[in-house]
Amino acid sequence: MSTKVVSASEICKTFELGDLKIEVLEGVNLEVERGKFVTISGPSGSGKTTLLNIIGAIDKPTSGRIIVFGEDLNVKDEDFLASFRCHNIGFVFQSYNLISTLTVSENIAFPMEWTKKSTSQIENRVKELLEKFGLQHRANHFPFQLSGGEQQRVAFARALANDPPLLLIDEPTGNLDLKTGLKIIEVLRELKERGRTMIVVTHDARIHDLADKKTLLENGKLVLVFE
Amino acid sequence: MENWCWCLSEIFFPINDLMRRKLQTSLTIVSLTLCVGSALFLLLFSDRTGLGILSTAEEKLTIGFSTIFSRFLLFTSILFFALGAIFASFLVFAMMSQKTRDIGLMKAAGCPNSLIFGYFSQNFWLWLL
Repeated sequence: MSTKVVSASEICKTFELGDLKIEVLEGVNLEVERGKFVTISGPSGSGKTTLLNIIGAIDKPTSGRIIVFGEDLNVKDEDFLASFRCHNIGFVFQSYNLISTLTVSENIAFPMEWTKKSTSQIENRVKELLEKFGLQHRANHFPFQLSGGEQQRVAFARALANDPPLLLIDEPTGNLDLKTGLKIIEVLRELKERGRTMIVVTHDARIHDLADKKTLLENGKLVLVFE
Repeated sequence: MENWCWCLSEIFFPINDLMRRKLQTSLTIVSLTLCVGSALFLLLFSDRTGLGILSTAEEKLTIGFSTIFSRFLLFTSILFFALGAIFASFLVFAMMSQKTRDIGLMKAAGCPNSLIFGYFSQNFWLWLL
């Protein structure tokens, strides 16, 4: 079995705004092996989130090839990609993106509902994740009743609900204070120790220190800083 | 932990969604009721209120007061209709933005398209009801 989880070659992404063409990614190459922790940094607007979205099958590249877990994502239809995301990829967004009308428990349980797990399986997993992230007392609260750090932890719990082998994390400590950021870094450290493959977009030096591979996205190209 | 699993099902998610947006749901119902009520009133009684025939014919009001009263009714109905329409369209716009965000989130997390369609078409039918 191949140890390569992500293989992106010559990825280009252009956004068209009327007559204006913005080339965000210009031939990005990236390979991530199973169990590795990769960080991507770069100036604002350099296309870090776009690259993460392409790897996570949320967006498609204008050109280039993206293979994740051996599947060429460019040629797959929407139904396949939805199922692929559900089973293989956990996404933690920069702005948490929790569903406002669902409680913490429900937000965590929602992705499991789509995999047709039994109610008892879902309940047990939610309980386990709530305990893991110290959110038991917040189980029945709504996202607007939580602090930024708590929302971030719910976002992590939701991303891990289906136990995906690949985690894509966008600026996990970007909106958090120092102390709350440390808790998130502890979560990342634990996930790394358990051998989870992770790609993290971050500017945080503490997260870069955990990385097996550090990259920098600049002028549409990905540069390897450290491996 | 409360038994929450039922509210994530395809049938109850839309109902739950509307119930938890209490203010928005009730405001939309009120504005739609205002809009429909005043439109019906205008359609059914505008000829009578406009000319003030009924009340004066029955000699309950003087011609002058009847005219003022009729115009007041007409003006109020049009005002309610306009306010209801503006308010309802604003709320529908706000709801559409929220739904667009929710659909994006669900898709990103791997929800199948058919299920998303199921959730929101049921939501739409509930609104129609």
